[in-house]
Amino acid sequence: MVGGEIMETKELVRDLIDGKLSMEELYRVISSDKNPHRFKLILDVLQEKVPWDDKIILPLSDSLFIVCKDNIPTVKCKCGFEFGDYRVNWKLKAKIYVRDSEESLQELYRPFMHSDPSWMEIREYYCPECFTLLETEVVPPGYPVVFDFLPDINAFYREWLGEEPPCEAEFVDKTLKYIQEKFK
Amino acid sequence: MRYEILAIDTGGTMTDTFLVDGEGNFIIGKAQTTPDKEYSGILNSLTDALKSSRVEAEIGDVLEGLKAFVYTGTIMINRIVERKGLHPIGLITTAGFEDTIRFGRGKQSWVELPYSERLHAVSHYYPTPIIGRSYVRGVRERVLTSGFEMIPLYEKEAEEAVRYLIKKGVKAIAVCLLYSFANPEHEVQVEEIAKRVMKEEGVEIPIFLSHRINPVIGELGRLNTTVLQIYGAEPSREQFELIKRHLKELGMKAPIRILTSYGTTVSPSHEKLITTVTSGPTGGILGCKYLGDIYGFNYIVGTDVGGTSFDVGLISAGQYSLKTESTINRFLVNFPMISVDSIGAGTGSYIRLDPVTKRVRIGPDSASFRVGVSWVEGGVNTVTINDALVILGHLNPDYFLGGEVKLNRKRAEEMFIDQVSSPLRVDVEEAAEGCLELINLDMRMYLNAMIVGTGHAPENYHLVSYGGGGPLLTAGYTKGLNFQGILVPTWAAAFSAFGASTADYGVRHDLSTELLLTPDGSMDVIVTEMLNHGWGELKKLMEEELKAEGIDPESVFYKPSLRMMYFGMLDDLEVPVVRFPIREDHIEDIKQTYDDMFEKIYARGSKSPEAGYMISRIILSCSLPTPKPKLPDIPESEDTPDEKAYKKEREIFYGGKWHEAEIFEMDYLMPGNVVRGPSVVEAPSTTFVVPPGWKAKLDNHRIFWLEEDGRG
Repeated sequence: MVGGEIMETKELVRDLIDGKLSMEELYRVISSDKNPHRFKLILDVLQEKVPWDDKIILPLSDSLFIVCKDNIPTVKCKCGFEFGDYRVNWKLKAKIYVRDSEESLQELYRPFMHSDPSWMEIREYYCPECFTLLETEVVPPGYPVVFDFLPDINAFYREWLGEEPPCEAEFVDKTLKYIQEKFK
Repeated sequence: MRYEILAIDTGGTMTDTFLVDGEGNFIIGKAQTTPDKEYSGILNSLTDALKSSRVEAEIGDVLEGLKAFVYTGTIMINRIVERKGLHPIGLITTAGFEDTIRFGRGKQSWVELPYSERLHAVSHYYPTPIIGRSYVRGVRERVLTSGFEMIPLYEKEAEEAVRYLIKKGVKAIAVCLLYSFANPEHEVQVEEIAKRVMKEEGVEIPIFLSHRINPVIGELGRLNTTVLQIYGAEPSREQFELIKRHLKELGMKAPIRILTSYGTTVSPSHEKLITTVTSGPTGGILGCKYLGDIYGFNYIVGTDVGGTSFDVGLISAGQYSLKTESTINRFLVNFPMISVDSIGAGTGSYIRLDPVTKRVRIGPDSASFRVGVSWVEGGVNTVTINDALVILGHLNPDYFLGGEVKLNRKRAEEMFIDQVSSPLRVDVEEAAEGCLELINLDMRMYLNAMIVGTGHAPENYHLVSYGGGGPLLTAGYTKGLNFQGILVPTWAAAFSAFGASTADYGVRHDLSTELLLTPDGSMDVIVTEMLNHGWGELKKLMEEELKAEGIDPESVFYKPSLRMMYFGMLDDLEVPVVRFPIREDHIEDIKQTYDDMFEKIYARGSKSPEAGYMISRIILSCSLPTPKPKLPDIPESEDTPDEKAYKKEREIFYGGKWHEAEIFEMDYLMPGNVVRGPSVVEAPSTTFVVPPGWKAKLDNHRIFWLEEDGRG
């Protein structure tokens, strides 16, 4: 029978993140009980992979991280570009490419294989510095920019990890306020 | 006294030996499996067996006197699981079906996972294909299900495919074309073309045709069977040869025979050697059938408790059931196998608490041969059922495997407290017994569900308990099920090897077909002709094989059979046919046999002959009677055991309290002796627990009959 205990070492977690685990090893990780220390290991591995020193509090995606910068939780790209306070949707500072025409959609799809641009558009968000594709949104035209993930870092650290958060930050969405101030 | 039959069961971890003489006196041995050189594990196991013999015997003399040597084991399945088979293999298939082997079946992504993981799609994954896509070539052709050639083979494409595969450096070529079981013409054509091309290119690569390996309906099953034959079975022949050579050098004259998954034995040169791949569990069921024949039981359930799994097989109406579809390391195959089902519950199963709910979970994974935390050298850090048994006093820590493996009770207790009983805030004994009761409950419910699922009740069955852990848990997992009788053979630990030794030499060939017997009998003439033709073809094939193995085809006994069902039903049953060729008026007898069988296995009310009958397979088996072990037959003496049999008393925990239990040495118990619980019967290879309120009588065949005191 497949299965069995698997020791979750830093090396294993690194391979897990890099997608280097064999299916059998991955299966054992998936089917085992959750390792309470895994989050720490993941942060350690990620911290080693980025070229800067700001402490990662929480990973947001493959390329984006929330780090503690001057005691403010800040969204930072792996290349080092900073998007500012994590409570403001980072997409506001990203480069955006919108595929809302037959022509642009057909760069990706064959004719008749994509959505109707008058019904649905694809928004691609790129890092202004390294031009990594950070996120893609598929929404009807005119739909507000989606704020993908606004975690409550205080609660996560205190109630889930049982630790003090590295940066103190009140849990509110500051996006609207930012827009009001920035785009008067 | 001369030993006549030697049966070897090389498991993943232990090699079991069963050696029996002409009077049914047997000895058993155990040794670690040596995957690199199986023969040395086999010799060690044999040496271990001879050590326990009361008569001094040299290995050479024993081997020389043997009449039969039967092998069953994991050589082949390990090769497949570890992906160490023949590589690379090329595949030529019908154009448009090149991806069948990669797609497989959705089922292949979860089929061998434990139930809890089957429920979670995130845990599903597909087995790595044995043949990569670039080694697969499609050729245009099409044969219909009827065998009618709709599109002829594009010979040019076949030729190109062969050239391509030669260039790729393949070591073997598999040919599997659509519906080749109905009409093999195109596969044969491909073979001819391949041979011609190879001659031109000056190479020689073996070719395997799916209709020869497994002429059975179901593309994927036929394809996988063919590929696994090449990948796993072909390279294993060499290993069997090696075993044979080594034993021959030591003086063995008997031929080596390997147990098939459908209950016969074949020689290592058998064309469809893949049918021996998972024969381990088969042995146990054959052993049960053999006991059934001796005692006159027609309904038996065989239960095998190993370190890792609990295997259950049923014999109903005197027949074990064959399943026609199964999986090997997740690959769907469709050659016949004796149906044995299992759950991941054994004596080595890990005990863990759910970190959130603190619910006790047992298995499904196990420490297998590493016993548990009580065996320090095993390096296990999670407690197991074995540890619970040591804590409860059921297992003797100083007599595990005859004392060769010393168990540490204190360590077991400490870690059990730490991992289980203290988080649950109960006493360690209470926790250990609770865990034991849980695994027993799992087994009991599974057993009951299996039997009830066939429309019977445990009251109809005799239960045989075997495997190293069977006798330890028998009382627990049978309690309250009211079996006709519970049999615990004294050779439980090597029962599978024993079962293997009862198998005749024989082969079986299946041929898929679709023959309809209409209610008005208008098809009887044609069907008769088709059946006779089918059997004739199979017989020709068989005769060829027998000659190749050096057996006179005249000396074997042919047994024709059919698989059939009521027209419109989905599950077929195997119907024995007395002889062939048959005459038209025999069709009525065949229908009658099927009706009777259906009634016994299902229910009278669900018979539905109104729409006629469908014959789905033509089957021919042949067998060559081979020497079988006799059971010991010793007249029963008085019911009080001899003084020699008593060992030091020990406390065992049962039903919430400690009991002073009598401990017996199994070897010194004589037929007729009755052991009353609480007591424990110990042997080097197994431990038999008779709890308070139970008793066990040893009968003349050296089999214990376990029952609750005062019952019956």
